[in-house]
Amino acid sequence: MRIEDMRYTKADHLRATGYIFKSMKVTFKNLVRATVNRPCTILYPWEKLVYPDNYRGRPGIVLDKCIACARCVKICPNQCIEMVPIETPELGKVKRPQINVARCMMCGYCAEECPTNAMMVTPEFELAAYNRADMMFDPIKLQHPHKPGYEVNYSFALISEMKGGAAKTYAKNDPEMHDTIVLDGVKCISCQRCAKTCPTGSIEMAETGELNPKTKKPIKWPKFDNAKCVVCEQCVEVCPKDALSIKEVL
Amino acid sequence: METLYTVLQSLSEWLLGVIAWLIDWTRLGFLSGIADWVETEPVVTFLTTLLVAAIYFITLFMFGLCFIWMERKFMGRFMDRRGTQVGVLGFFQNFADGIKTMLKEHIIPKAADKGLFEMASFAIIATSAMLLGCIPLSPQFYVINVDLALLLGIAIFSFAPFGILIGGWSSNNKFSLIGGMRAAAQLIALEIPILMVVVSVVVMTGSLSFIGIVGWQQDNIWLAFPLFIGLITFFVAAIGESERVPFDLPEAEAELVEGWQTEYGGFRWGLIMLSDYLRAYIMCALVTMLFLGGWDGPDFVWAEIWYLAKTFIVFFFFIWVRVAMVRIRTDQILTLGWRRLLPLSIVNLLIAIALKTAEVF
Amino acid sequence: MDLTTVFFLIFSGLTVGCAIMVVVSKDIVRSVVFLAATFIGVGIIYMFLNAEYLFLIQILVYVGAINVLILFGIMLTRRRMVGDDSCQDEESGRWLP
Repeated sequence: MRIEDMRYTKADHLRATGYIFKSMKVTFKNLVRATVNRPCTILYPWEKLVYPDNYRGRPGIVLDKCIACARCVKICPNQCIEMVPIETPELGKVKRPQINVARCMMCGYCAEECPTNAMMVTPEFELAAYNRADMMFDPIKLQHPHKPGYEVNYSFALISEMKGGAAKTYAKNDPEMHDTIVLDGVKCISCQRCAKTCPTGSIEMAETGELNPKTKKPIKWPKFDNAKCVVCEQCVEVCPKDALSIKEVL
Repeated sequence: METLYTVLQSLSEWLLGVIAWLIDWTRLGFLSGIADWVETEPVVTFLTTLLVAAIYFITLFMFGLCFIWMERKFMGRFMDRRGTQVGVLGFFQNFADGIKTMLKEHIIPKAADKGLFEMASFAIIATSAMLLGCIPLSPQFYVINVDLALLLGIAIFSFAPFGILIGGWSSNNKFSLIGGMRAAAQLIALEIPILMVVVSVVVMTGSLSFIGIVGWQQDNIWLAFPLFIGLITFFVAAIGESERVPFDLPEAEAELVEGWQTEYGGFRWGLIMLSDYLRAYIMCALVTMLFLGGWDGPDFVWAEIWYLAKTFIVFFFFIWVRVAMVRIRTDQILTLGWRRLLPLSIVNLLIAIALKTAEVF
Repeated sequence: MDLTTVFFLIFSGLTVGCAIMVVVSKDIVRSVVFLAATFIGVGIIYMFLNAEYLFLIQILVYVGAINVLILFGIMLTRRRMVGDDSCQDEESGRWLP
């Protein structure tokens, strides 16, 4: 109705009283319920909530599976992972990840990227300590008992295949469908550093059939085994002549 | 308080005797005059008064803390949560808050008027503290007993709008100034209905002292029944005078930060908050004394317990109103104070006069 | 010179001092606060004359209501201080009211 036809009647005056009494009734009912039964407060730390099975707490590691590819180091958004040398009984001195849990935001990317599922998420989050040194989890402290649900696996689909209409998805560690290493032969000096650095041993120096003009020995170039490569890119970083590059599969 | 006073007097005599003995023990001749003077009557009275004042302040803080604790626990249960949990049933949280407030830095804004700033906070706290002694707990348990105690309470209570206005002005902050002016407008608008209802109570009982009013109610009927409209009016105006929600315009936490208290930090703010709760207690105490019979009740518990229980029940209603209602607007406050509560209080006064003339009571 | 006379002299001296400060003080809000102190002082003199009721009414009416009214009058109006530059017209140099 038009505003000039509206009338302010006695009912409108008394409506305010209704607002008062109705709200008081509602709050009183809530008081009675919260006193006779218990209120919804959880008395932490004596009572705790039940956490879902895939709750994402601090990262944990299974040291036997780690191949020191350092993919977790590269992907961490807060740069809290560092590879440090430790002594293991089987392999001697190796590098394993150390996590600064104080910086960790528990995103789970390290567990997602780990090609061997050595890194996993654990449901631990009560990590308070009295000094900063206790928050630096070295590889031994980072270990955690393994459960299958703690691993983070994903599946992906390629854009090029989706445009064609197909809907095929691949698992995380699919040995056929991942980025490949490409060699620029002109720059390679056969120093074999890439073969020595590779953590999975997927680089082999193979003869190309040509002979070095000066020493008359066969030239060796690296040959990549796609099934074993985990695209850790350590060969790319260590090559002195920048002869290697990554070809992405899209 | 009579026996408490004699206990304190003997305690201070003993204490001064120890001091005089210590002075004598040094055996310095010129100090013996001081040793004799220390044990004389005026010094003993002075020390006893100091001890009484110390006990008074401790009681003041405990009252304030009890009310804050009660409010926090009850508000929690109204909101489906527990209140404070630290200590026995959550009581020690207030001590922790008090100590934290004491340890904070005292900041005065640079362009604020320093003398007025301090004076305003002092005025509010001092008047609220003064009022606690005016209200007796029972005919045998009081700090002072004057014939005009009710009028004394109302007069000193009305000093607060002045202090709040000066506090808001001297903070040199336009939001504090707005808060201060809103506060003064609200408090003065709501004092008139309070005074009219007090007049109607005095007409019925014929006395201005609390002991007289409660004595009349013990002989006749609790004034809540004949002066029911007065009870409602006084209750609403009392919530407004204590600056509690729904009348917390001066504070208006979502809009004005803390209103006129914004620039007060540290212990001054702690004392202002304490004085807020003390003023709420005084208003509850007035409701109890004037309408609910004060310490009237069957004999199986002490009169003081009855009085305190009734005061806490009235405060429970204060908390309930706080939880249930939204904040009032400035123009609605003026409508409420001058156009609704004032006519109601006049009607109440007419009822009181009619009842007294007809000699019903 | 008994104790009553001493206290009376102290309080009346304070009252007269505050009354002088009302006139002398440069900041107007301070004048109002000193006025409130003067009213309280006068009330205490009523107490000396055994009129406690007058003291309470004085506090209630003067300090609680009239002083706040004066403060509202000060805060809600615009005022010009004596001697500041806005009293003079810019071009002609005449004094404006």
